[in-house]
Amino acid sequence: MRLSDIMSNMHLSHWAQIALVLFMAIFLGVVLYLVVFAKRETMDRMARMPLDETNGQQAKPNNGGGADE
Amino acid sequence: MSGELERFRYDDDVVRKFVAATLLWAVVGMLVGLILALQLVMPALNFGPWFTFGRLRPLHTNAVIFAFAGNALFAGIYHSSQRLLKTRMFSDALSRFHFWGWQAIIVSAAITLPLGFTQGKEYAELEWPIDIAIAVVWVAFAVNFFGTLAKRRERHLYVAIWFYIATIITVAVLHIFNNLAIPAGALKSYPIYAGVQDAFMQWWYGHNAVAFFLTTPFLGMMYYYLPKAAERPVYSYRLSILHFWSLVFLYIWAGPHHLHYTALPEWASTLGMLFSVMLWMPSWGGMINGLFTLRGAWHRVAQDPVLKFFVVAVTFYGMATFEGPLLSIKSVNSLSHYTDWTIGHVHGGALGWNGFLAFGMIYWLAPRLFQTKIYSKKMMEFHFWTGTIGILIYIISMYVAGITQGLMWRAFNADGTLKYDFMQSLIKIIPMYWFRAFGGLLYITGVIVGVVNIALTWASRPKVYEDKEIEAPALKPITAPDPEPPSPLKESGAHVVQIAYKLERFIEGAWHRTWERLPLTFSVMVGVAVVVASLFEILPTFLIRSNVPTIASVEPLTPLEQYGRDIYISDGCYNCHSQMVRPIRMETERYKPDFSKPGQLTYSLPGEFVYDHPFQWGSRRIGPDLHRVGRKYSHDWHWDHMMNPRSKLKKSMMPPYDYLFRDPIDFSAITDHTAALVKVGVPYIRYEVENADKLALWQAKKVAGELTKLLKAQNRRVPPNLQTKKIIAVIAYLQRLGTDIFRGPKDIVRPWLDPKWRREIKLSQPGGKD
Ligand code: HEC
Repeated sequence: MRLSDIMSNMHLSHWAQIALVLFMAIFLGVVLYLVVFAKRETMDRMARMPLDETNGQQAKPNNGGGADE
Repeated sequence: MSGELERFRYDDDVVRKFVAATLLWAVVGMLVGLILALQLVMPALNFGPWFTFGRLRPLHTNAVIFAFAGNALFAGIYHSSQRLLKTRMFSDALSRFHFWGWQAIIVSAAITLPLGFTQGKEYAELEWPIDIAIAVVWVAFAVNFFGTLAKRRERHLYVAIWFYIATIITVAVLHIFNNLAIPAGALKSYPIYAGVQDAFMQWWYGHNAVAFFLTTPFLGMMYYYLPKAAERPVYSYRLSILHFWSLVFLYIWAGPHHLHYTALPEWASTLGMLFSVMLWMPSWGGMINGLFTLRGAWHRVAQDPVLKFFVVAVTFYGMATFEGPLLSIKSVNSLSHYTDWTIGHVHGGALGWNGFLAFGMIYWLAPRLFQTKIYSKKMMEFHFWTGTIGILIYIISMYVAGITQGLMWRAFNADGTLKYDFMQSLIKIIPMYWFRAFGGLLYITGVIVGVVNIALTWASRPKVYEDKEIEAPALKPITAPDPEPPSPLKESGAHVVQIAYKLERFIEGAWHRTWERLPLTFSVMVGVAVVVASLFEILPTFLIRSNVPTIASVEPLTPLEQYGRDIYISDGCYNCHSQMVRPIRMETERYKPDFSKPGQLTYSLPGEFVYDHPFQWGSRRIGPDLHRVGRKYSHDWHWDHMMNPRSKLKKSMMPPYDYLFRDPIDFSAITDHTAALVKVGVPYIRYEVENADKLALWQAKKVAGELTKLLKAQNRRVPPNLQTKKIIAVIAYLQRLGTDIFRGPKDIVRPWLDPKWRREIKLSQPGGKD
C-alpha cells in the first residue's frame, strides 16, 4: 500500500475545481471590498505607515477600530 | 492605561549581517555565472570533475537565488518588519540562528554541489540533509516572524507584511512537498515521485518559487523602501492590496499551463491559462503603482541613485511579468522552450528586478545602518550604469540567440527534411554567447564597485553605533465591540426589518472592520486557505497513479544503468540536455531513431518515465535532446565522445569527462540505491535487489567486452579493468535511453527475470581488484 494508492482512491480530482471556484470567489470578494467598502481615509492612513518611523501611533490610542470610524 | 509608552530598540545588527552576506554571495554567485558563460565559449575552462558546467550551474542558480536574493530579502524583512510593527524581533537568538544557519546551508551547498551531490531537480538540487536544515532554519524564521507579529505595537498590518507572510508560509509548503525523498545514502536520495508526477511537482515548485521567493518578498520590500526613498506614500494603497490578493490567488492557478496530459479537466486547464494571462493586470498594476509613487518626484530620481535603482527594478518587474504570461502561451512556448529565450527572461527578472531592488535597498540602508554618509555617490552612479547596460546586453543577446535557435530548429527544406543539424544551430549563436559574457562582466563590475563602496562606507562608521531608543504605546487588547451606529431599522421588532438591518450593517462593511481587528487570526486563516486550496489543486495531479498510462515494454533500468543515470544526474548533464521529445514534427523528425518503423510514435510518452526518480526532462538544450539517444551510436563513439567531445564535433562545448574513465564504480552503493528505489515504488524483484552489485558487475563485463571488441578492431589500446570504470555505466545508460518502446519480444533488458537464467548464470562478487 502506497500513498499514491490511498490518494487514488480518494477521488480528489474534482477538488481542484472546488478550490478554483473558492479562489475566484474570495478574489472577487477582495475586489468588491476594495471598490465598494474600503474608505479613503483608512487607505491613506495605511499608505503612510512606512513613512512614520518613531512612534507612529495616532493621537488616538489604540482602540482596535480603524481610523474610518 | 491606554496608550502608555513603551521603550524598545530595533535589532539592526542582524540586518547589517544579512546585508554583508548579501554582498558576499552576490559576488560569488555572479562570478560563477560568469565562469559558466565563459565555459560555453571556451570549453577548456571546464576543470573536471568539480568545476564542469553541469556541476557549477546549480551552484550559480542556488547561490544567486537562495544566497544573494535570500539574504537580501531577509535583510529587508528584518529591517522593515521591525519598523512597521514597532517592535524588536521576537527573539534575538532566533535571528542569530536564522542568520548563521542560512550561511551554513549556503556553505554546504557550495561544497556539495561541485562534489556532485545533487537531487537533480532544478533549484531543488540540495540533498536531503541540507533540505532538512533548510526546513529547520525556515521554521525558526517563521517562529521569529510570527512571534514578532504577535508582540507588535501597531494594530494594522501594512501591505508589505502581508507579502512577507505569504512568502514564509508558501515557501515552507513548496520546499517540503517538492523535496520528499527516500535517502539512499548520506548524500543521495530518490524523490518519491517519478516521471510525469515528479515533473508536475517540480514545476509547481519552480513556478511558485519564483512567485514566493523572488516576487512576493521583493514586492513587500518595494512597497516599503520605494515610499521611504521617495519620501511619499505609495501611489494607491487600494491597488497594492489588489496586487497582493491577485498574486496570491492567481499565481497558484497559473500552474496548470505546466499540467498538460493530466486528469485536470480541460476547462480548468483553460481557465488556468486565462489566469496566467490575467496575471498581467495585477503585475502591471503593481509596476504602475511603483512608478506612480514617484509622481511629482521625478526630478529627485535624476539626483538620487537609490531611486534610479528602484525605477529600473520596477520597470524590469513589469517587463518580466509581461514576458512570463507570453511565454506560457502554447504557440510561443513551442518556439521559446529549451532555448536561450528562457535564459534571457530569467535574467531580466533576476538581474533587473531582484538585483536592482536589492542594491537600491542596500544603498538606502547603508548610511542608516552604518550611521555615516555613503562613501561615494559617483560609484553608485557607476554601478547603476554598468549594471543597466550589462543587463541590456545580456538579455538582448539571449533573445537573439533564443529566437535564432528556435527558428533554426523548426526550419524545414522544401522536401520535408530538416534544414539545419543541431550543431549548426549552436555555432550560429556562439557570437551571442560572447556578448552575453560581456554583459555579465559589466554587471559584475558594477556589483564589485558597489561592494567596495559599501565596504568603505562601513569603514567610516562610528566607533559605537548609536542604538536609538524608540517609544510607542503598547497595543491594547481588543475588548469593546464595534459600536453599532443608531439605525431606525434596529429598533423595529419586525423580522424582515431585522434582516434589512443586518444587511445594512453588512454593506457598511462592519464585517471587514471586525476582521481587521484580528489581523493575526485573519492572516493565519488566509494562509491556511491558500495552502489548502493549492494542495487541492496539486495533490490529485501528482498522486493519482492512473493519470499515467503504463507501457508494457517499459521496464526499470538495470542496476548498472541506474548507476549510470545517477552519474548523469550527479554530473548535471540535465543542465545541457533535455530528455523530452515533444509531439511536434520538428522534434520527432530530429530525434527519431533510425530503427523506428515508419508511422511509429517517436515522441516521448508519459508512460516511458514511470521509473524515473527524479525525472530528467531538463529545461534548456545546450546540447541535443537525449531521450532517443539509445542505440543511436556505437559504444566506442560514446567512449571517444565522452573522453573528448571535440574529437567528434569540433565546436562542441560539452565538457570532457575523462575522470569517468578513471573513477571506479562503487558497487556497494548500487545495492543501497536499488533498495531505496524499491521503497519509492520501482518494481525490482527481490533477486535483483539482493544481487544488485553482482548483476551490475555482470552487465559491466558484458558492455566492457563489447567495447573491447570494437576498440581492438581499430587496433586501439584497451585500458585494464574496463568493467570497473564509471564510463561503462554511463554508456550502458545512454544506450538504453528511450529504447524500451521499440523493443521486440526478443530484446531482453533484464534477463534475470527468467528463473532459468538465474539458475544457469554464476555471478561473481565485485570487489577485490580483479
Ligand atoms: C555544457 C553543456 C553540456 C553538458 C554539461 C553535457 N553536454 Fe552532452 N552535449 C553538449 C553539446 C553542445 C552536444 C552536441 C555536440 C556534441 O555532440 O558534442 C552534446 C552532445 C552529447 C551527446 C551526443 C548526442 C547526439 O545525439 O549526438 C551525448 C550522448 C551527450 N552529449 C552526453 C552527455 C552526458 C552523458 C553528459 C553528462 C555527463 C553531458 N552530455 C553533459 C553539451 C553538454
